[in-house]
Amino acid sequence: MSNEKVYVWDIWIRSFHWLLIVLILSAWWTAREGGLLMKYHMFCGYGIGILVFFRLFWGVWGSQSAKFSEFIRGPRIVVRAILDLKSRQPEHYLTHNPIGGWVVIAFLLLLVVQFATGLFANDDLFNEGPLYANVTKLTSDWLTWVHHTNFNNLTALIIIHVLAIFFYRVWKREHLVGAMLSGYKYLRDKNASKIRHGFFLPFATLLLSIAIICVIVNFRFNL
Amino acid sequence: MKKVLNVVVTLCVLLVFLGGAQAAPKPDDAVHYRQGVLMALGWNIGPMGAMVQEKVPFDKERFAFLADRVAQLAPMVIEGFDVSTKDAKSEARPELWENLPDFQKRMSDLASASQKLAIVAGEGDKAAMKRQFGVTVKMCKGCHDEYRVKH
Repeated sequence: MSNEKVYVWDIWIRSFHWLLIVLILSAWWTAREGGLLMKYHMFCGYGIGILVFFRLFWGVWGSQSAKFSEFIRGPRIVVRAILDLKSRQPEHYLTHNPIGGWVVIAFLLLLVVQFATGLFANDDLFNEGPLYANVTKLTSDWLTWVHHTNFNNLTALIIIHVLAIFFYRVWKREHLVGAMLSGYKYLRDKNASKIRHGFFLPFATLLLSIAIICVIVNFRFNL
Repeated sequence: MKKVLNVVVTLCVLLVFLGGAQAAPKPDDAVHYRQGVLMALGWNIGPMGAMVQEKVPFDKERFAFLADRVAQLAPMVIEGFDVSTKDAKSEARPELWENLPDFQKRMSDLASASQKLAIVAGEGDKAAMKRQFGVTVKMCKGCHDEYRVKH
């Protein structure tokens, strides 16, 4: 079987993915330790906010494989993809498969909820999210509860995600981790996906995301 | 006249009796007591946290003043966690009563840590104050995580 080496994940998507892991782990650890480390927990949160906004924009005007329009499929196609899981044939998608596409959406949704509730959260000691002053203590306590509860949802989805990667590796012999590291998938001769190689658009998108987060958290650079 | 006096005396006795009944600590009173002390602790810890994080200028004297209050308040909390409050409406999780010795130990650790904080604050070494503050608030968080309902 002659498979072609196809460049599917651009450097921005790959950086997004691995940085997100680093930041989620750091956010989890700093929150578990609590106290004075909550300052860094909040920095992790702002970083995750920047990543999520970048991913949302990149899903609209980024590389082909990153676009929501490329991987969000209707229910019939999703059902067929689920039935396809039985087959041990490797799949040949230039982007997320129809199931994974919806998992991406679920991840982004959970992360948006996590970011937004964290802004208003408090730890009942001396740490408060940057927008805490705008809500009552009662509202903040409720949003803090959502923040804690939603983290369990996020953890569950991460476990499902990792198990799925493992499943594709063992059952379908697909090297999805390798693809997310190198950017290349080995696919049947299909049209190579159109990766944006320019630097300006992704960089501008990143700056836009940073600016949005700075406005939301009322952050000022001390220049 | 005698009749009126009788009524007055009876009323007084009744009032004294009722008053006495009210004075015996009810579980709800104990809950309110400990919530009040914990609230007072939070009230004093808040501005210390702001100073430690340099959100406001670090004022050593004010820090020491607040640390003294915290050292006074911290040992007072445990009185409110009487077993009679087990079923009272509060944010204490049932685990607290199942692991009461552990909780009591944590509370006494908090008392010693806050005492040490007050001593360190009196000595005036800013770095040491920050460090001991971190140690103390971690104990607050410990029980919040283990023994308080998640909200």
